[in-house]
Amino acid sequence: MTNHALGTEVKRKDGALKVTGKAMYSADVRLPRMAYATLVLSSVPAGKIRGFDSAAAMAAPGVIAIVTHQNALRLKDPGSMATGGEYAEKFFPLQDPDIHFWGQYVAVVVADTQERADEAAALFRTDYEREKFEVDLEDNPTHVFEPKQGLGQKLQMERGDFAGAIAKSEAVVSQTYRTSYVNHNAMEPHVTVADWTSQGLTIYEPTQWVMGLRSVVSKALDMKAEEVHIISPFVGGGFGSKGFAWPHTLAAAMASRASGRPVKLVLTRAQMFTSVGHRAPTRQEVQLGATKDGILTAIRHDTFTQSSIKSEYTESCGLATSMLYRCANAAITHRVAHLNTGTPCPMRAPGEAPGTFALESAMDELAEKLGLDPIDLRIRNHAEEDPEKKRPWSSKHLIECYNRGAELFGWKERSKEPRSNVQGGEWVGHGMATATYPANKRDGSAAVRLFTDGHVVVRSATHDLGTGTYTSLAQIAADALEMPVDRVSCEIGDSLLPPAGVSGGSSTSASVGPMVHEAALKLKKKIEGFASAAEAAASTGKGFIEAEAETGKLASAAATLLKKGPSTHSFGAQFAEVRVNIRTRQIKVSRFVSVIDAGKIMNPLTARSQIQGGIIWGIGMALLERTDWDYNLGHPVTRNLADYLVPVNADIPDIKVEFTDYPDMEFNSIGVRGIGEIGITGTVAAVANAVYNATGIRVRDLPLTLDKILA
Amino acid sequence: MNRLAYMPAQTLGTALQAGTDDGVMFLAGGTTVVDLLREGVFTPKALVGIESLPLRDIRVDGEWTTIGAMVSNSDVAWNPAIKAMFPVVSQAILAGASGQIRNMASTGGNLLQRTRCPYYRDLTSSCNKRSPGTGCAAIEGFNRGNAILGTSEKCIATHASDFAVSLVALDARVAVSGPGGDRDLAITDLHRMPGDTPERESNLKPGELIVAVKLPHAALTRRSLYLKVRDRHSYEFALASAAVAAEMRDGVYGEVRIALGGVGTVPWRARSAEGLLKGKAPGELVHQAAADEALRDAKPRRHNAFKVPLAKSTIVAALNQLAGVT
Repeated sequence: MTNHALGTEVKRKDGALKVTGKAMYSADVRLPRMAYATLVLSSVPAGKIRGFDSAAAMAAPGVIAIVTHQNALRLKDPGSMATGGEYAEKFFPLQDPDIHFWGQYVAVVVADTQERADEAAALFRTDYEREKFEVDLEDNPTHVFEPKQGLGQKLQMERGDFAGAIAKSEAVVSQTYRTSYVNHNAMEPHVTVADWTSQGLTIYEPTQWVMGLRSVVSKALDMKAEEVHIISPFVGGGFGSKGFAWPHTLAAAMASRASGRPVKLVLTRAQMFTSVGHRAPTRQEVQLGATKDGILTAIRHDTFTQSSIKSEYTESCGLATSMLYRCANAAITHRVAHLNTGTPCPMRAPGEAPGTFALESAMDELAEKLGLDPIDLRIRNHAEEDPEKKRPWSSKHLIECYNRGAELFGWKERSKEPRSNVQGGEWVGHGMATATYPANKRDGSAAVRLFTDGHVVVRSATHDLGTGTYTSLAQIAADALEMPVDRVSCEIGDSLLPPAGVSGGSSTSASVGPMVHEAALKLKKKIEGFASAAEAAASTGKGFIEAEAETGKLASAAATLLKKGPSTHSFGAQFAEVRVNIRTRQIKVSRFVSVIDAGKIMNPLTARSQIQGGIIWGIGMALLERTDWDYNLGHPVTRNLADYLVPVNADIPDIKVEFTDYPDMEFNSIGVRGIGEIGITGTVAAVANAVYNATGIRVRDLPLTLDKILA
Repeated sequence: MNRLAYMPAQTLGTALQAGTDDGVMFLAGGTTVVDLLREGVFTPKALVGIESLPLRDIRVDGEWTTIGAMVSNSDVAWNPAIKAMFPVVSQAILAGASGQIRNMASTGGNLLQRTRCPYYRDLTSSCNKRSPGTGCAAIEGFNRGNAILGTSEKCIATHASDFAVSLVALDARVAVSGPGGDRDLAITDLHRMPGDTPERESNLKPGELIVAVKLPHAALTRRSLYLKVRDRHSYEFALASAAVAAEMRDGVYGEVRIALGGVGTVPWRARSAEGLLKGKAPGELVHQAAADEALRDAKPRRHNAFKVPLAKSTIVAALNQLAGVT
C-alpha cells in the first residue's frame, strides 16, 4: 500500500460534530452545582479604587460570593514563555486597588444563575480616584521605550550603512503608513469553567496552549502542575487571542475557590474588546532607496506602536522587511508607547500583517516612481538567501508564485494608468503584493495507539482552532501506518496528553506533525511480526499498543522556537482586483488570486480554507476593521459586532488559491510548514495597491474607507 | 431585582389599555427593544407583546396602500404590490439589516428603532437622549456615524432607519391608536428633531401605538429608488442614503421627492432641493445644484465632515439613475 491520505482532500473529521451541534465547546459544559460569574469592569481608564459599595449586590437573590482585591487569593508569579507558559497581562487584577485601563476587572460576582449574577453585578458600585491617562498613540505619549526583542526576535537591527546608501540612492520613496486598533473577535467568546476541589483544579477553556495555561494557572495559584487539568477539545477561533493566559481564567478559579462550587465565566462580546488582547495600532515610516534600474540599495522601517502600561508586547512590523528583499543596507527599529489600554497580543500574522501593508505599499510606490512593473521590481530584488541572517532558505519558490499568480490573474492585461479602466460607472484597479511568514516549529511530542479492534488514536496536547488539526494528524498517522485515514482519530486539547507547544505562529503542523509521523513509524515497527492488529494490541495487556515520539529535550510545556539550520519562511504572491464606484467611492474587492509556497500541502481542502480565511481577514483589515476609541473618555466605543465591521459574504469575491506544494524536507521529516497566518500577509497591500490603481489615490492609513478616497 | 412583566395582548383594546401605564413598552419584533433591554438602556417595568395583534395585512385600496404595523420588514419588501408600486420602499428595506432581522422586525417598530450612536448604548458615557441632562459625548467624541442635518447642541444622533427614509419621500402617513382614540399623522410629523429634548424621539402621545403605515397612490411612486452607501456591502447602517421619486412630463421634472438617510437626526426630507428640480430637465448640473441645496445647512463635526460630499454624491447618483442620466 502506498502513501494515500497526505496531499489529498480529506473532509474534516470534526465537521459533522460541529455542524450538528454535538461538539462540546467549553461554554457548553454543565457541572453539578455549577455557579455563574459576572465580571465588574472599571469605568475609569486610570486611577485607584477608593472603595466598594457591595451591600445591594451581596443582598441580591442568588448571590454566593463577590471577589475583589480586598478578599481575593494572593496570586504568585505566573512565569513566562521560558518557564512553560505566558501570562498575557503583566499585572494581576483583583490584587490591588490600581486601575490601569478602562474595562479592567474590579470584581467577580458569583450567583446561582447567570441572570442573577448579571443583575447583582449591575448593583455593585465602585468608587474611584481618577488619575491622568493616555490612550492616543498620535498624541505624544509620555512613556516610550525601545524594545530589544519580541517573541524571541530582535526588534532593532542594522546592517550595512543605511544613511550612506540612502543619500546615494537614485530613487527614494519615503512615506508613513498607519494601521488601526483591531480586535480578534473569534466567533466563540473566551470562556472558563473552573472546578476547584480538594482533588485539584479542572479548567474547561478554549485555548491555543493547554500546557501553557496549565503552567500559568498552577504557578499563579501556587499549585503543582499535576494538580491542574486543562480540557479544551474545541476552540471556536483563536487567532492569537487564546494563545497566552488572560486574567479571566484566574478570576474564574478564584470564584470557584470562594464559592466552593464549579463556576462558569463567559466573557460578553463587549468585554472581548477590552480584556483579551488586540492588535495595537501602528505608525510606520518606510524609506526605500534604489538605483534607477530598481535595485534596492537602502531600506529603513521604523515602527511606532503601543502597548499597555505594564506590558512590552510589541507589534513587530519590521521583521518581514528585514528579510524579504536583497538589500545590503537596512535599518529596522521599533518604539512602543505605554498607554492605558488592555494588553495587546499576537493577532494572526502579528507584525507581518501590518508590516507587509507598509512595505508592500512602499514597493508599489517605488515601482511607479521607476516606471517598473511591480512584479518585475520584486523579482529584481529577489533574495536568494536570507539577507539578515545570511543563511540559505530551506526551500523557496517565490518567483514561481509571482509568475503563476500573474498568469491566473491576467496581470499582463491590467491597465497601468490609474482611473483608466472604467466599467459601468466604476474604476477597476489591480494590485499585487508579496506574502511572507516565518516557518516556525517548537518542541512537541505525540503518541500513537493501535487498539484491538484495529482503530488508531493519535494523542498530543495540541489543538484544532478550526484549522484542521484533527484531520491532518490522522492523515499523517494513516500514511505512516499504511492504513485508511478513516480508521484513525485524534485526542488533542487536554493537558494529560503528551505535551506540545502553543498553537501559534503557524507552528502546529511542523511541530506535532513530524512527531506523529515518527511515533506512527515506531508503532509500525512494533507491530511487525504480529498476525493482526488485535494480536499486537492484546500483547500489551492494556487493550492497545503504543509508540511515542518527542523532540530532543522536551520541557513540560514546550514553548521555544527552534532556530537552527537554514532560514525557514513561507512565501506567496497576492493579487487583488477592486471596483470603486466613481460617484460614491464604495469599494468592492471583485477578484482575488493567491499562490502560496508553504511546503508540502497535507490537505488541499482545509489548506485552501486556511488561506481564503486569511485573505478574508486581510480584506477586512484593509477596508473595514477598526476599534474606534473616544480619546476624551479613554475607552473604545466600538464594542459590538454591528459597529465593528468584519467582511460579510457580500464583501468577498471568488478567491482562487493555488499552492506550489514543494515539500520542505530541510525543515522537517514530512516537509510541511504552517499556513495559518500567511494568507493575510500581503493581502492588505494588494487591496490598497489595487485601490490606488483604480482611483489614483494612495491611502496609507487603514482602514481604507470610502471617505479617504472622496477627493 | 429588576422584575420585568411580559403581557402578550390578543386584541388592540387590551394592548392599548395595558400600554397606558407608566414604565410600559410595546414589544413587536424585538429587534431593538430586546437589544437595548440587555444593554440596560431600556428599563421598563413591563412589556406589552403586540406580536399577536391582527395587524399583519397589506391592503391596496383606491387611494392608499396600507401596511399593518406587525407586517414583517421582509413581507413588505417582497410583497409584489409594494415592489411594483413603491420600489423605493422595497429597496430601502432590503438595503437594511440582515435577512434574519428583517424577518423579525415589524413595520411599526422599524420606524421607532433607536439610534446607533455608540454613546446611547454605553451606560458609562453621557448621553442626553438616554439620560437627559448628562451631556452629549458624541459632539466632542467619536462621531463618524453621527448626523449633520437637524442636529442640536444637545444631540447629534442619526436616525437609523432606511424604511422611514423611503416613507418620508413618499409622503406616507402613520395611523395610530391610543387612549385618546385613533388619529393619523404625516410621517414627517412622527419623528422629532432633538432640539433641547433629544429624549423625546417621536410625537406619539403616551400609550399610543402605530397600527399601520399608509402609502398614498401617486404616479411618481413607481419611478422611485433607494441608493444606500456604506462601508460594507450588507448588514450595515447608511453613511448616506437617498430615496428619490419623480414625475416626468415631456422630458422635464414634475413633482420630485428627495429624502436622505444616514445624515439626519430624523429621516430627512430635502424639500428645497426638490423645488429646484421642478420644471427642469434632468442632468448632471441640475442634480448637483439640488444636492448642494439639500446639504446647505449641514453642520459637520470632526469625524463626519465627509458625509457632506458623500451625501451630495449619493443624491446625484440616485437622481441620475432615476432619470437615466449617464
